[in-house]
Amino acid sequence: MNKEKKHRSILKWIGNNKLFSLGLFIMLACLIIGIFSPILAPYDPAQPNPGARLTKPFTDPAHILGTDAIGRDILSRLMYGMRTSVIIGFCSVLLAALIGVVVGIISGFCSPGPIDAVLMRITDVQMGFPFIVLAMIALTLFSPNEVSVTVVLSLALWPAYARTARSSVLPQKSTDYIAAARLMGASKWRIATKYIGKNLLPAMLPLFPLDIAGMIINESLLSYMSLGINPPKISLGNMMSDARGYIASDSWYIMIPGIVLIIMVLGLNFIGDNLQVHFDPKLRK
Amino acid sequence: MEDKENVILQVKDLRTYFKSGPQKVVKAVEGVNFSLKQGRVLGIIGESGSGKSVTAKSILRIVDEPGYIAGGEVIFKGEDILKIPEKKMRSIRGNEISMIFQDPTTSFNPYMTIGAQLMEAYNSHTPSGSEKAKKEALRVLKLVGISNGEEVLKKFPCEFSAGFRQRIFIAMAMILYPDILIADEPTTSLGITIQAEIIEALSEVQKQTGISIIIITHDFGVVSQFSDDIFVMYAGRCVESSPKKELLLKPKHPYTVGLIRSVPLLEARKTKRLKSIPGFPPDMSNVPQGCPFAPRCEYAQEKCRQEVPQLREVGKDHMCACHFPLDYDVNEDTELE
Amino acid sequence: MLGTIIKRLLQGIFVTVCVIFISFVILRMIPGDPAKVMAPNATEEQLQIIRDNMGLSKPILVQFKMYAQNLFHGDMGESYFKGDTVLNVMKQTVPLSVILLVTAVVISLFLAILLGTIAGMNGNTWIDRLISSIAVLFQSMPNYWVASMLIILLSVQAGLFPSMDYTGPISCVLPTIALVLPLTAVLTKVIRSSLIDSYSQEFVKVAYARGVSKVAIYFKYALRNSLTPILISLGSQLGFLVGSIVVVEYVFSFPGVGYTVLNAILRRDYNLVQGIIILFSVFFIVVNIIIDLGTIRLDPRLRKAEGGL
Repeated sequence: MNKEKKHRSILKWIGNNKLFSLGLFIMLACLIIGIFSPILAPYDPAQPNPGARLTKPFTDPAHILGTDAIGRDILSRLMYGMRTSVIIGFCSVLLAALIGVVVGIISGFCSPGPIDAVLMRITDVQMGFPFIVLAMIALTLFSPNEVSVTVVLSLALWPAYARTARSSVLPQKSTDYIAAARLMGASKWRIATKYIGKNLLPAMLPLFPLDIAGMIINESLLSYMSLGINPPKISLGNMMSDARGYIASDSWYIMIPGIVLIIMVLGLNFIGDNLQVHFDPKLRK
Repeated sequence: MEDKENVILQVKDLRTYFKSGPQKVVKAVEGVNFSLKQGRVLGIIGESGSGKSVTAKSILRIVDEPGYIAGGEVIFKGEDILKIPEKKMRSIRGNEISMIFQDPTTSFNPYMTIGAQLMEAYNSHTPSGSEKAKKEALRVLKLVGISNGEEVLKKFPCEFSAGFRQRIFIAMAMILYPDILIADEPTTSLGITIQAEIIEALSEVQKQTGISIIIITHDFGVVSQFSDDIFVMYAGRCVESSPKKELLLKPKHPYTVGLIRSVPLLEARKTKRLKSIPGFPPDMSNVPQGCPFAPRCEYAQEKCRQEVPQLREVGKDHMCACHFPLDYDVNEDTELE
Repeated sequence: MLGTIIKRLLQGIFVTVCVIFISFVILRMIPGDPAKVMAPNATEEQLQIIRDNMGLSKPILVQFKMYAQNLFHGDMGESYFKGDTVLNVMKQTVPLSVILLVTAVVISLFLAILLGTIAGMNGNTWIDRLISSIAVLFQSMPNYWVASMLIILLSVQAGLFPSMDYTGPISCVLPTIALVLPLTAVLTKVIRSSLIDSYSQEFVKVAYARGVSKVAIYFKYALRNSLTPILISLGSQLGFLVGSIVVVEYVFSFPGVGYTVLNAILRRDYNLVQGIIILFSVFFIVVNIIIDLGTIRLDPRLRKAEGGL
C-alpha cells in the first residue's frame, strides 16, 4: 500500500467514526484553548473586580460565564485551568509511557532473569500503593506544583505501561519470525525497535487518550483537595474547591468548571474507546 | 420413495437466505429436497460454502443472524417443524434431533465439568434429578467407548484432547436417544487417525441404537466409509442424490463425477491420476443464471446457461439435477485406470 | 494451587514491607517539625523533650526498627491530635468506610449486571447505545463533582439527605450514590462487551442446539463466562475506588478513613498517616491477591496450568 492511499484510508476511517471525530475535535479545541489561553482569555484571570462578585453566567455580556467570589472572570480562569489540565495530563502520560516502555522492554528482553525479576518487583511495590496514598505522601513531602503533580501522576501510571510493554515483547521472543530475523543477523536492538512499531504501538495508542483523561481527572481531584495545584495558580480542580463554599447559594459556580472538565474527558474517552475497538478485532462487531 | 412409512425426516424445497445489506440477500440454501429414512445414514457432501451446514442448522432452526429461513418445509414425524412455536422446537432440539459440531475444542462450556454438561443435556428435557442423569451419562459414555466415565465426569473439557472431546460430544448428543443425529463436519478439525476413530465411534453408536444420522462433510472418504445414501450439494442446491453404491459407481451429474475423480482415497477404484474440477464455486451473492455449475462444467451447453435444471429421477432412487446427465461408470473410466 | 497461594502471599508480604518502609522514610522526610506543630509555643528545650519522647531524634533506621517491632504487636503508636491510639482511631473510622465501600460495590455490581445485560442482549440497538452513552458520560465525571451535584440536587434543593457530617446511617446515602454512579458505568461497559463476546462463542450456539433454555444459557454460559472479566475489572478499579472513597468522604465531611487520613496529613499526624497507609496498602494487596486467586479458581483452564484444584 502506498503512503497516500494509507493516509486516505485513515481519513476515511476517521470520517466514518463520528464519535472519534467529535473526540478529536474536542481534544484539538482544548489543546488550542489551553496553549493559547494567555492570548485568548478576555481578562487577566487573577484580576479581582470587587464591583462584580459572583455574577451569574449569561447575565453580564462583559463576563459571559460570570465572575467568581472576588469578581474574577470565570471564562478567563477556565481557559487557564484548561491549560493546566492539558499540560499536566499530556506530560504525565508521556513521562509515564517513556519510563514504562523503557523498563518494560528491558524487562521483557531480560526475562527470565534477575533484571526482569527486580524490575517487576519494583512495579509490584509501586502498584502496592493506591494512587491516592502515593499522591498524599509525595505531595506532602514535595510542595505541590505543576512539576511535582506531573511526577506523582506519572509515578502512579508507569507500572501499567511497563507491564503492557513487557507483555507485548514476551510472546514475540519465541515466535518463528524473530528466530528467522536472528538467523539473518538482525541485532537484538533492531528487533526490539521493530516490536515497538508492530506490537507495542497498537497496544498503547488507545491507552494514551484514556490515560490522559484519567490523569486530567486525577489532577483536578488533587487540586480539589488542596494537594495539587494551589491558588494563586489556576486549575479546574481548585476552581471547584473555591466553589465549595457557595454550593448552596450559587450552585452554578461549581457546575461550570465541572462541565468543562467532563467535556474534555469525554472527548478523550471517545478517542480512546474508538481506537481500542479499532485495534482489538475481538471488540469489533 | 415407495415405502413412505420409513421416511423419518423429509426436507422439501428448503430455502435459507442471509441478509447482506438493504434489499440484498445471499441465497445460501435454495430449494433443497431430501429425505432421511429410518435407521439410515445420509451423507451430505459439498465444497465449503455450498450450504450444507446452513441446511443442517435450518432443520434445527438455529441459523445465526442475519440468516433466516425463507421457505420450505421440514417434515418430522408428520409435522412441519418450521411452523411450530419456538417453545415446542426447543423440546425437539437435543431431545429428538440432536447435533454435533465441527470443533470439539470450542463446543464445550470451558467453565462446566463434563458431568455437569452431560447431566444438563439430560435434565434440560427430562428433569429427573442428578442420580438418574448421572447414570444415563455413564451409560452413554460407555456407548462411545469411554469406560472410565466416573473420572471423566468430574473433569473439565480443557483436560481432554480434541478427539476425546468429540467422543464425549457424541455421547452428549446421544444421551436422550434422539431419533436423528446431525453431525456437522464432525472430523474436519481432527487429525487423520482421530478422524477414523470418531467415524468408528459414530458407526458403533449407529449399529447399537439404530439411530438415523445425517453426516455433513466435504470428504468423500467419510461418506464412502460411513453412509447409506449420499446427497451432493452445490451452490445451495441439491445436485444429485442416490444410495451410496450407485452414486459412487455411476454418478450422473458432472459435478459429482468431478468430485469423485478428484478424490484419492476411494475403494471403488484404483486411482492413478487425479483430476480437479476447474474454476471455483460461485460467489453466493452473485450466482450465475442457469445451472450454477455450468461455468465449470466441461459438458455445459446453451440450455445450461439459460435454465436451472430441476431435480428428476434418473434411476431407481437416483435423483439428479442436470439437463444432460452423464452415462458414466467409475470402473470404465479409462483415464483413471 | 497451594504453591501459587504461598507464592502470592510471600510476594504480598514483601510488597507490604517495602510499602511500610518507603512510606515510613518519606513521612520522616516531610518538612515541618511535628513537635512544633503539637506545641507551637514551647521553648526549644520543651520541644527537645517532646522529640525524645516520640523517638524523633534517633536515626531513622532505629526509629523504623522500633516502629516495626511495635507494629508486630499491633501497636501503631498514638495519634498526636486525636489523643488516642492509632488502632482506636481506625476502629472508629474504618467500619464506616467499609460500609460505604461494600454497599457501593454490591449496588454497582447489581446495577451493572442489569444494565450490561440489557445493553449486551440488545447489541447495537438504540437501547444499547443509550446505556453505553450514559455509561461513558458517568465514567467521565469526577467523583467529587458527582458528589457536589448530588448535594445540590438532593440535599440543597430537595432537602432529602444531609450533606455534611455524620448524623446516622442516612448520611451514608449520598456518598454511596456518588461512589456507585462511576463504578456502575465502568462495570456496565465491561459486562456488556463480555456478554456480547460470550454469546458469540461456539459453545453457546451448541448449547442452544441442544435445547438448553435461554435462561440457563444466560446464567450458566454467558454470565458465567463474564465473571472473570468482571473480577479483573473490579481489581483494576480498586485503586480508583480507594481514591474515590477519600475524596467523597472529603466532600461530605464523612468521618471515615479517607477524611481522617486527609486531615492527618494536613496536621502532620505521622503515626496516624502511617497507620492508614499501611491499612490501605494491606487492603489493596490482599484484595488483589484474592482477585488473582479468584480468577484462577474460576477458570478451569488456568487452574490446570497452575497445577490442579
